[in-house]
Amino acid sequence: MCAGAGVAAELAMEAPMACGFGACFGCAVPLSGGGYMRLCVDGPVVNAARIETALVPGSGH
Amino acid sequence: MDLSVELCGLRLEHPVLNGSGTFDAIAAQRAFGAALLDEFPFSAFVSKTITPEPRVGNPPPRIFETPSGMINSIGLPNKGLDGFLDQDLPLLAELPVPLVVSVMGTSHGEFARLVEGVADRAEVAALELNVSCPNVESGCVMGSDPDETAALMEVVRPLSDKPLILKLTPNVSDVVAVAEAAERGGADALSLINTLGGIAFDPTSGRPFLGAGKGGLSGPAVRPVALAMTHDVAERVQVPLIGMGGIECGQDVLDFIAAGAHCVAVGTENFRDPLAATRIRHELRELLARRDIATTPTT
Repeated sequence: MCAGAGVAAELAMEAPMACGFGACFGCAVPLSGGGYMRLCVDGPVVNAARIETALVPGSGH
Repeated sequence: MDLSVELCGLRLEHPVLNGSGTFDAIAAQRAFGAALLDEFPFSAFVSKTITPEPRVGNPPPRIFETPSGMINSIGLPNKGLDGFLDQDLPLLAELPVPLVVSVMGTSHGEFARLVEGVADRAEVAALELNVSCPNVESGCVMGSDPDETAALMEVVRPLSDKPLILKLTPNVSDVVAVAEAAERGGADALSLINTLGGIAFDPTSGRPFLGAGKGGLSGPAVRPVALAMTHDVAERVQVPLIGMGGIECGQDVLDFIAAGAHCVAVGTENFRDPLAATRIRHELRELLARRDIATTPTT
């Protein structure tokens, strides 16, 4: 929505997390360029342009 | 008290290792600082599983909490063999304990490439073979069938003199038969158990919750299963066993030793408390002292 309006957006995300420090790779969020980031170490606030919101469960898309 | 044990010729300060993929020594140092190395929680470090080529892992969600456990389907994200050797191995080599590298291939050729690539490195003390994956050539999970396991050992055993630890999957009809095939094929030790196949459903959609559909159950919920398999395998093989499955405290370690394990590994509990293995070791020490036992018992 923000991308359509040309507005930068930062999203506070949630994901099921087991360890919380980068060990379990459980909290993966898909990146728009392919691959995943770990929300615990690379988030939880993420630049919306970095992530593939359409593929984030519960993102409402 | 001397808790030290010998595992395939490696002298370990105590019997508590980590389960592959449940503790990231590099990330933990970043999160908890270099002090982690002063009292490293494990007596040997087992790496996250590496594959020949890089993998990004499975689509999320990847984990689901269950009664006394969790189901995961992470999908083995890793940098691939070359990325591991270039980037991770130099960092893991600085750990104060022996390094066990976990490898998984989807064919004999892939396993051979991994074993050859990893075993040559002086920093690597031993290899763990993750055989809970289908062989693309036969369609059969390599660790699910004694003949598949024997065929794999025939390929990889001649490639290295370093200890080869085969990790048994519980998702089989006869784990003892697979264990015996691995021992006959020259495995130096067996670790057990990997996760139990499981699935969780999203209550609103009725569809599988995990992005990959099914996953693997771990945590205290699986401990009695792991103990039974450790017991059954120990009765039939001579090689040392690394027992794991839901270990949370010192008494759990004693239970695995009673079942016939030589060493143990802490897995899911590391997610709840990254220093759990240190606590578990101290609890083990105390339990043994109360029984006037001065060394790690063997059965």
